[in-house]
Amino acid sequence: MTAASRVITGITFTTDEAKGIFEVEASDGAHLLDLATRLKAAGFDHCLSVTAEDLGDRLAVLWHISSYTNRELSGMNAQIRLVVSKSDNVEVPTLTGIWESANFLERETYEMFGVVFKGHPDMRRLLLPDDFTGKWPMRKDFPLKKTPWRVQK
Amino acid sequence: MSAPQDRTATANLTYDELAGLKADRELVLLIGPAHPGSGHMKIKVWMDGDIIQRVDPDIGFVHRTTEKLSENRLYIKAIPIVERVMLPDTINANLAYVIALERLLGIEPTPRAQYLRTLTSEINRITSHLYGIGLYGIFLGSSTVYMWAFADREPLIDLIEEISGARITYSYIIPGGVRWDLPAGFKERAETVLQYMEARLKDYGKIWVRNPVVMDRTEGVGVVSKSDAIRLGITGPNLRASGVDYDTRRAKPYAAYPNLDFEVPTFSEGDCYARLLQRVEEIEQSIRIIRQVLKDIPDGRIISDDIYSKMNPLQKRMYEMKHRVMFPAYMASMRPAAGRSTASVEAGRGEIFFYLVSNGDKVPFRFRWVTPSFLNLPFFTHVMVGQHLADLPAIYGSSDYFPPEADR
Repeated sequence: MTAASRVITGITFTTDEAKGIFEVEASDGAHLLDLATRLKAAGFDHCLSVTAEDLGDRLAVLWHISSYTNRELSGMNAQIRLVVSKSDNVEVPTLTGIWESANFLERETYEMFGVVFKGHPDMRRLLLPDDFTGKWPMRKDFPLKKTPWRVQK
Repeated sequence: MSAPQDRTATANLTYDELAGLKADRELVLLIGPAHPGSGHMKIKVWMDGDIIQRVDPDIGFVHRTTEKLSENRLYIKAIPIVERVMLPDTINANLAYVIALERLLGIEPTPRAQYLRTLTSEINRITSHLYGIGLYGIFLGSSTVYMWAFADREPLIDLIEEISGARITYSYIIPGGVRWDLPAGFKERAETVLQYMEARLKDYGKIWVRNPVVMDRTEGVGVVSKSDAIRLGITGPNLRASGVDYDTRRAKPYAAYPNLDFEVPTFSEGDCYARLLQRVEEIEQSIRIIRQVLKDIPDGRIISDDIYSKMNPLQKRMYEMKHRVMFPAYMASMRPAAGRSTASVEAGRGEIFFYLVSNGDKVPFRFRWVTPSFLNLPFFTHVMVGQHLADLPAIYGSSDYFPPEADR
């Protein structure tokens, strides 16, 4: 792995440009909000994706951000990463107050990973059917059932 | 209830006095999941009179768990999966995934493959816009333009069928390059189709784009200001129709776009009419790009040396004879080194975003993608609010929202 970095408004991104990775790690919720506010002010005006990664006993929550108006930043898919310990309902602060486009993306992450975004205006399920009762289908410990092939006799 | 009121009784009331009568006028309307326009979603609309107060899009009726499916399959098997969610525009989904995968693998496609990717991507952009314009027609009640647009996709689909062998789901782009080369005589036939398309765009102008009925129904309706478009994260042609000069092809260059000369049209109005004009202008630009690609396309292999060297002798002979790539066994066994990658591609409806994580296994550890229609959801929650119910189809149609694409 390369250990290159790039500094934008005093925030150091770990980069791997050949793979399109520009990452900054938040240490906790307060740091996350601080980073997001500064990045928004620097010109990242758009949230492309919110998602999570199941790391076993922890969850990494990721916000991918980009810029529509700042030509210097618009070539980047930057990501903010916050690692939290895994439990049934993981709580992290919402970034919808900073990027309104994170609204539906955070709702999707909530239903798929069980990440509750504190302060989100409308923390409901989105894509899954109303009668779905399983917990957090995108986590790695979600049981997958293999449907056997049925042959008619 | 009470006796019928005199019609003139409410005429001189102030708004506050009218608010007392509000209970009579409030209405909640459920549209869908099977509704006459496009697709499979439920829209819950709260209205005061016929003015929309709040819209709650209930999506997910065609959610296909593409992310979970792909995380349990070989890398190469995700290509047909991502294609199937965005049927008018499959090449761009295919391309976005393959670019992310190539970045993980650290392989570069050949220049000729880059041009072929751009060519098929632009043909798909035109078919996607025609699809959008056609459905916009049916939303506004014109079955003529719907029939026209869908019929005019046909020559373009025939073109791409000549290259890839399939009409809709091509699976044409693979890591390292593409699967087939251009057939003989393709350039001439493509030029005929492009000239036909240009002539047809003039016809569309006469019957549809400059039709006074269309203009009346769409001008000034569903206006998205430039700052709103950015704030809400609108993407693609809808974003540019609101005056934001952003195109992924230029901002995050990929395939052959850095070598090509094209404009990014924008409109400042941001209304439903601007979004229609935007698509027509983008078709014109796509025609321009296709002409350049066919003129400038370099010679050479269509598959990178990394992949070519992994073919067995029979496959290599097949490649030299027919310029056709048969899958080397590597495709089924590839295990990208542990790492992460992102990729962005400008699809017909906007930016497709990919985030892949490999832990060195033969299946992706994390497979994340966001489609443009999903990002265009604020058209329901924000743009429709304050508009008349009768304008809901116009706004929906102008946003080119495609439920299977949003639900993934």
